[in-house]
Amino acid sequence: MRTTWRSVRKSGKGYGVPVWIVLTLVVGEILAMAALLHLTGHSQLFALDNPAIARKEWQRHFPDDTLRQVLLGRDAALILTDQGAGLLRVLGADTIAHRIHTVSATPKGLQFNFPSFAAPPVLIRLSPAQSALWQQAMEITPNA
Amino acid sequence: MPDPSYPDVAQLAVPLFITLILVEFLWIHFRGTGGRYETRDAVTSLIMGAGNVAEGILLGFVGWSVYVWLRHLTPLDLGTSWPVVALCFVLDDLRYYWVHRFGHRSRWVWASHINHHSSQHYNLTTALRQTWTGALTFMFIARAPLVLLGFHPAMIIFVGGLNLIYQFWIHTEAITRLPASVEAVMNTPSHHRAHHGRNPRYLDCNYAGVFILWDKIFGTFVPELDDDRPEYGLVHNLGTFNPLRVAVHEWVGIWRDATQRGITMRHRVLYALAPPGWTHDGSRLMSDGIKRKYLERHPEARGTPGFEDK
Repeated sequence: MRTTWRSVRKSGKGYGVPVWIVLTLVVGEILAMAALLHLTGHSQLFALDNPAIARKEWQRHFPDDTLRQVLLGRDAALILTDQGAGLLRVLGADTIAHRIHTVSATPKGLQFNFPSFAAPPVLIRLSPAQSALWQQAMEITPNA
Repeated sequence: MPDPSYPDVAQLAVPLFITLILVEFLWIHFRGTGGRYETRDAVTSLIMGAGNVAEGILLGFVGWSVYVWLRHLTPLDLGTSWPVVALCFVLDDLRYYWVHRFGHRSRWVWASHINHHSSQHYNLTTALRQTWTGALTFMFIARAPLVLLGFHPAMIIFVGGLNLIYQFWIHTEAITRLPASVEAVMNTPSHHRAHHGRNPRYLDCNYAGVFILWDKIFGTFVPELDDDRPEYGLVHNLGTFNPLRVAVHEWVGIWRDATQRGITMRHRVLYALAPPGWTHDGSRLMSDGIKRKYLERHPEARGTPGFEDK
């Protein structure tokens, strides 16, 4: 028998399960896994609740930085370093660190924008006093 | 000779994958050791896996068409005996090693592979965190030599499926070390944990699929060290669990870098093809630079695994 696109394709996929069954299984599996993890307490956020933890986490992301000061917020911290200011924030059970790019004030806090498609804009909820303090700290911390 | 028929083993293995994920999760949950699970991270990984299957269904015909065309061109036909299948498996694993190595050393292929390394966790769901954009890399062409040598395309896809299944179970922290004889020859959870490490020591090592021998032969093997436990994820971790962003962010990064103003055409090409971290002005670090900076802070690590030639 001559090898054709159709014959090879058929021979390679001859034992396939119908797509709709696979789709149902996949969606069901994802939902079941999400429910199982959530109900067993695996949706808990990282506890970013003291400056020492914030410092350690920042150094994990940017080990070359020299840290000056840490300002804690809710699930986030403003990190002031000799290399410039940065935002450390909670992402699930872990943290993520960003160099500050652009920041805008909102009634609920500060919105941070980053130049990477992998880091969408994020609103850090802060009281007006905290918001003012963070903005002032960012202004006096030069960018590297 | 009639075309051989092989099962779609990767699809048949899905129930096994699900079972093993459950077993690993329960092991970790009740023992409190052997890894970490996080809801959104795991869900993202599972969605990436589903998207990878969808990509294969939608775009798999591109590679297939090329293989069938090459099958017509070659005068060689090695047949379908089991020794030939075994040889095909070994050679396809060698193909995997080089494609994987290229995938870490050229940003064009890294843009597709990066999502597999984007989790800060390392568990069996991480194994399913696969690319949605593999066809864009044209790396399917790396199987062309096997077709030209006379291996049937269906056989090549079959052994590729077996290779994928093998690589599933090594994405775990629940297994520490296997017997030395196994660790010496096979890719194991320990070797692959090192591959997923973002620690400077572990950047660009252990590209093997099944046989760790390839890394030992080609000089990319780094053992997992107990005093430098792998920390998982990317050098610069992602700030999102959104699967779409996970899947395409590096492609967007290439686009933005290559289309910026004031650079030469050579720079634009290098932004797409050079190793990850390359920039025209040296403003980012490639893996060699990251290792050098680490050694400035930790000179005592010079000459140890992962830093031998630094």
